[in-house]
Amino acid sequence: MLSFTLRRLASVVGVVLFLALAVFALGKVGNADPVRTYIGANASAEQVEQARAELGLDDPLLTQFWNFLTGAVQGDLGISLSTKHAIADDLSTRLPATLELAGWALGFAVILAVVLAAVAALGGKVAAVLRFVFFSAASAPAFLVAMLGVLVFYQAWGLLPASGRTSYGVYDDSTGFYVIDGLLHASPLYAADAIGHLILPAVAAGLAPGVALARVLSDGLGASMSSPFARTARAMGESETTILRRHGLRNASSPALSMLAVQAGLMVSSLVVVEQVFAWNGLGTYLANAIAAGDFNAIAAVSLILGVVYVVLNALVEVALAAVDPRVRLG
Amino acid sequence: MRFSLTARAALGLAAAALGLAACQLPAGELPEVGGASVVATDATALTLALASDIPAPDPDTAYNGYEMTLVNSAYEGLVGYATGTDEPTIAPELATDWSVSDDGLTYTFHLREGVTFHDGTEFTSAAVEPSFARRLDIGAAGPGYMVAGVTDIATPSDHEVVLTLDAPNDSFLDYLASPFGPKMVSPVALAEHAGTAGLDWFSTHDAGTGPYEYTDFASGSSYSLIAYDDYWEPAPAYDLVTFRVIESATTIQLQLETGDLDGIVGGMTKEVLASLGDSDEVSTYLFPSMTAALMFLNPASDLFTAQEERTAFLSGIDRDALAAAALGPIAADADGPYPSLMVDAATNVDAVEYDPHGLDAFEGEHVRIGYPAFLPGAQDLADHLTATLNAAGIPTESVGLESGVFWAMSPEDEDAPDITLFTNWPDAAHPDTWARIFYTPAGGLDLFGAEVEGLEGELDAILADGDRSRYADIAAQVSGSGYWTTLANLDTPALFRTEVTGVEEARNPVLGIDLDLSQLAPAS
Repeated sequence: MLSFTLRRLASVVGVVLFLALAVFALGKVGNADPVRTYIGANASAEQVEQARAELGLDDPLLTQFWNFLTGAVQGDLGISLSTKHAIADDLSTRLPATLELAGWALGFAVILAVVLAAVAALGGKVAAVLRFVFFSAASAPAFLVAMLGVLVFYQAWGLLPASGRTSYGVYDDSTGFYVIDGLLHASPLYAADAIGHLILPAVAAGLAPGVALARVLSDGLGASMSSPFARTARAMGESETTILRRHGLRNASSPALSMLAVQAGLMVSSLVVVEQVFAWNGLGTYLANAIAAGDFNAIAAVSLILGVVYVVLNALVEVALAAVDPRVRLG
Repeated sequence: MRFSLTARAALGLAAAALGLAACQLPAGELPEVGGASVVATDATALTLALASDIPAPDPDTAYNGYEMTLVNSAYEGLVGYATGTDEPTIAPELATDWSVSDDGLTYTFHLREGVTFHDGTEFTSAAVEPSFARRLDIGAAGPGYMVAGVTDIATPSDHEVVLTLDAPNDSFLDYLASPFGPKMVSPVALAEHAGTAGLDWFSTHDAGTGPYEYTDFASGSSYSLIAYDDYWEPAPAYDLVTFRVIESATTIQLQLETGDLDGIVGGMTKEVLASLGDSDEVSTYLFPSMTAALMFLNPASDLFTAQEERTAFLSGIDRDALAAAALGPIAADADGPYPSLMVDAATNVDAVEYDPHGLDAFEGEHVRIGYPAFLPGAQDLADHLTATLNAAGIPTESVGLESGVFWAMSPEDEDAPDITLFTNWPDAAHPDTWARIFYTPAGGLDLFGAEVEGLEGELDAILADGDRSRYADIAAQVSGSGYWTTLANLDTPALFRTEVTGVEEARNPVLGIDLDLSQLAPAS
C-alpha cells in the first residue's frame, strides 16, 4: 500500500510539473504582447521597455520558467496584467468563494445521486420516471439550469436571491467562507442568508454531476441488488431497505467514487458559467475576465491551481480505492 | 402531472421555509456596511450594477471608464465639466473662479473656502502641489501627461494658487476639467501613503473632498460609497450607494424589474434595451457623449497604399447605415472625424462622401478585418462590415483579436489585418485630445501608425495659439487621407428605476458612463 501511495505521489508531481510547463509554454507561443495589457495603450516605447524589464520578460525563457515554477511553489503567482495586483492577493478572496460553492455543489451532487440511485433501485413507477429525469437532466447545460432557477425561484416566486454571496456585507475578519463566517460570529441570520445565496448556484453546478453519479451508482446498485449475496440476505429475512443500505450501496460505491473525482473536475468548468450568471466572485469569473483582458499571468495561475486540484483529487480517490479494494493495488 | 406539482410544491415549501427561517433567525453580530454611523433606509440607499469589474479607483491611475463614477464621487478637481448638458462647459469645482494670462502661460485659481478632505484636513492651496506631484509620479503611464507641462506652482495665499506652464496649452483647462483630470488629494494622506507603496491603500480608501467616501470594497463583487457628512455643498439625497458587479445581462434585467437594482449605466446589450423599452418601472436613457466608433485602414496593405484607393473604399461604405444596423439605437450619425459634441458641424469636415459605386474597384479583392474582441460592439460592427463587403463582391473575413494580440499588432506583419475597428472616448472635450491620440503615431491609439505629414506640428501650433477654427483644416486632412474614418457617435445607454430622479442632469458630456451621483434623488 505504501509503495502504491508513493508511486501515485510521484506521478502527481510529474503531472503537475508537466502542467506547469504546458501552461507556461502556452503563454509564450503566439505573438501576444502582455506589456500593453499591463500598462495601457497610451504608454511610450520607453515605458513599455521599463515594464517589460519589471515583469521579467527580458530574461531567458529558462530563467522565466524557473522563476514561474519557484514562485508558484512559494505562493507567488506573479502580477495580474489587468488588475495590477499580486495574483495571490486577487485569489485570496476568490479561491474560498469557489471552494465554498464547489463544496456545496459537490455535496448536493452526492446527496442527489444517492437518493436518485436508491429510489431507482427500489423499482416501481417512480424509478421509471427517475430514469427519464436522469437522461433529461444530464443533458441540461449548467447555464440553462441556472437561468431556469433564477426565473422560477427569484423572479416568479421571489424565494431565493439571484446574485452575489450575501445580503449583509463581509466581516473584516472573514474566512472567505460565508456560511462559516456567520457561524463564527454567532449570526444564524448571516449563515442562513449565505446558504440562501448558495442554493441556486450549487444546484446549477451540481445537478449534472449528481445525475451522472446517480447513473453509475444506480447501475452498480442494480447489479448488487441482484447478486447472490443480496438473494442470501433476502432469504435470511432482511428488508429491501436494509439490504440496500448495508450491502448494495457499499458494493456499488467504488465506481461511483471514481466517477465523483472525474465529475468534480468537470464541474469546475461549469462554475465559470455559473459564477457569471450569479455574480459569484470566484475563480470562474476571475478566469473569464482574465481571458477577456488577455491577462495571461492570471490565466496561467488559475489554470495551474485548477489543474493541481484535479490531479490531487484523482490521486486521493485512487489511494482511497486502493485502501478498500486490493484489486486496484494489484492492477 | 401530479408528480410535477408535488415536486414543485416541495421545492417551493423548502425555499419558503428557508426564507422564513432567515427572516426570523437571530441576527447576531452582522458586518457593518457603510460604517456604524450610517443607517440607510431603502429610500436613501441606491444600488447600481456594474456589468464588469473595475480596476482600482485610485484618482491618479484610474483610466478605464466605469471606475470613474467612483473616483469623481469621492474626489474633485479645481474645475470640472458641467453635467446634464450636451455642450461641454468648464465649471467651478474646488476653484470658484480663474484667469489666464495673455501669454497663456499663467493660470490663477481662487479656491473655495470651508472645504475639508474626508480625513478632516482643510483644503487649501497647499494641497495642489503634492496632488499634481503624485499624478506625475504614479500616473505616468496614463493621465500623468495632463500636468506634465506645469513648471511652477505658487501659493500666494491659502486660497489662491498660480500655475505656470512651460508653453501655452489651449487644452490645459480641459485637462483639469476632464473626468480623468488631476484631483485634489489630502496632503496628509499623500504623506502617509506615498509612492507605489501607497497604491494598495488608495485602491480601497479615498482622501478626496467629494460628496461621497469609499467604504466597503469587496474587489470583484461590490463597492459601497457613503455620503460625506461635511461636504461643502448640500448633502446628496442618497446616503449609501452600492455598486454590484453583475456580468450577466439577464440577471441585471431581472433585478431591475424586481427592484433589487436601481440602475445601470452602459454595458447593456441591444436586446436588454429593447426588452425594457416599454417598461413602466424602468426608464431607458440614451446619453449623448463623445464616445465614437472608428475604422482604421492599414497603409501597409496592398489594397490601401494610395490615398485615392483608401478614400474610394471608404466612400463605398454607407457608414450611417452600417452603424445603425450593427449598434442599434445607441448609434448616432457621425459628422466628421471628431465626436459631434466636441466641435461644431462646420469644423467637423468630412472629405469623403458616400458613393454607392465606391467599392466597385475592389470587387474580387480579399479583405481581412481584425477587430478588438474585448471591446463591446466591435464584433457587431465587424460582422456587419463583413456582410457589406461580401455583398459587394469583396470576399471578407473578420477575426476577433484578444487584448494581447491586438496591441501587439504591427501593420507590416504578414497576417496584419487590412482594416481594424475601435471605440473610445477622448480624455477631455478639447479637439486636440481626440486628433492627437488617434491621428498621430505618437498619440498611442493611431493603431496602424498612419501619418499625415506635418499634422502633429500643426496640432502643436494650434495648442500654442488657441485658434480652434483651424481644427476644420485638421479634419479635412484627416478625412481626406483615408487612413481613418469615424463610423458613428455612440450614445451611452442607461437604465434606471422610475423612482430614481435626476438621471439626465447627472450625466457627464465627455464620458457618458461617468455619473454625478450627488444629483440623483428618490422621487418624492
